[in-house]
Amino acid sequence: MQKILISSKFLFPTLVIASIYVIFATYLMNLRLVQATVFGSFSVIYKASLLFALLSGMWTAMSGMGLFLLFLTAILTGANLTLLARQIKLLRGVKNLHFIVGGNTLLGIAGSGCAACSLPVLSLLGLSGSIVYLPFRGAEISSLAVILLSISFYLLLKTVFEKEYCEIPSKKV
Amino acid sequence: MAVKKKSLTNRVLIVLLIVASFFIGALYTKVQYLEKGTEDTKAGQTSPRTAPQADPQGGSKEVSTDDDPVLGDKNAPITMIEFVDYECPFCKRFVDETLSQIKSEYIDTGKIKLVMRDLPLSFHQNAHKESQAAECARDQGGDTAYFKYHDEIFKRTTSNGTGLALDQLSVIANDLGLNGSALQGCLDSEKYKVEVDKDLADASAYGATGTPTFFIGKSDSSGKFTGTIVVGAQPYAAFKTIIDEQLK
Repeated sequence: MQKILISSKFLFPTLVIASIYVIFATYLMNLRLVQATVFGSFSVIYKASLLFALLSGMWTAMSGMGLFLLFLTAILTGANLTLLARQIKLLRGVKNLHFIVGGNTLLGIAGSGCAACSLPVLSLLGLSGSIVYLPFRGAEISSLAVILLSISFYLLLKTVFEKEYCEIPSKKV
Repeated sequence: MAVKKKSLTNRVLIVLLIVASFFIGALYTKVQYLEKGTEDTKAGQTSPRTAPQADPQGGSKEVSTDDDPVLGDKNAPITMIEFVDYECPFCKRFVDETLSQIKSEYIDTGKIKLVMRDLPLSFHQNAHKESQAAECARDQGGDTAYFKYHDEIFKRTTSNGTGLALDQLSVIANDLGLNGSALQGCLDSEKYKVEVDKDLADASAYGATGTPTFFIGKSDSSGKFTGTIVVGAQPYAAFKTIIDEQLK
């Protein structure tokens, strides 16, 4: 198990997917501004400067816990998707496994956005008012995503290793 | 045996999916109630509406400065509106880490003016009263007193809803050389409740769903302008990039 988890074939795509996830979640807070900047008639320098500044805004526009949960969700999503890709042929018969991972990823993004006073990600779904009813103002959603992704990751790992070798059936005495 | 395990795995995943769906569904239902106005909002408070309205100009929106307090030269070429919640930790972070740089670089040099509007979120218990208190301070000493009071609230609050006890609002006024009992009277009469609620309604109409939300654009004598929307306590570099582009 360790061999796979520390191999570059696992680590590299996991980190790439996690990075994309973090960038995506950070930009979601200012989605309209990012869209207008990318597609607007601005200079390349302006576009690059603003996009970089907004990206570095993750350190100031999110709480410590929100950021921690965002990174955790991102890494778990990366790990899940990498394992899924590795096992995609073998998992064809278990399609709902893929759906679960996708759903949790969305939950993670929603949660990471509303851990702050700003609620833009949930508001995209028309749900920002709903966090008023949650004791931790939306941090629960991120936590739920982390739990579900962890379970999904664990089950995927088990699936992976089930296919790694043929078990010798134990003889009944 | 492996088939049995797989079947169990599938069942667990299906159950988890159902739980997650139920969770989302419950949130959705609450929102429906909120939008119909059937949920009990905190006394005298209006919850910001949730779904941002269609924004034909992408990252921009036509907004108004209303008659709200202004920091800086009233004739500055660029206007920046901040929708603020005095109990929001990110508004506090903006004041602590970014505002002073914007002030020295752009406000004090007459390049931009900052207009402060209120967006006290309903789950921040004391925020509405703090917004009203700042308006009451303005009543006594104009925009200068308003911004001194604004700075002082953020200096003293630990944020997140009840970071500043309400009995401190008149104490702050006294400390700033204002009349604390007059401010308390103003607060008790809820003189500025309607004003704060109007800001809340405007924020909703502009698509501001959280705090801090900023609108930055070229000033217009009518007080209305098309502003670029910036959400969250973004670093100084983000504001600098947008303001410099607008100043061109």
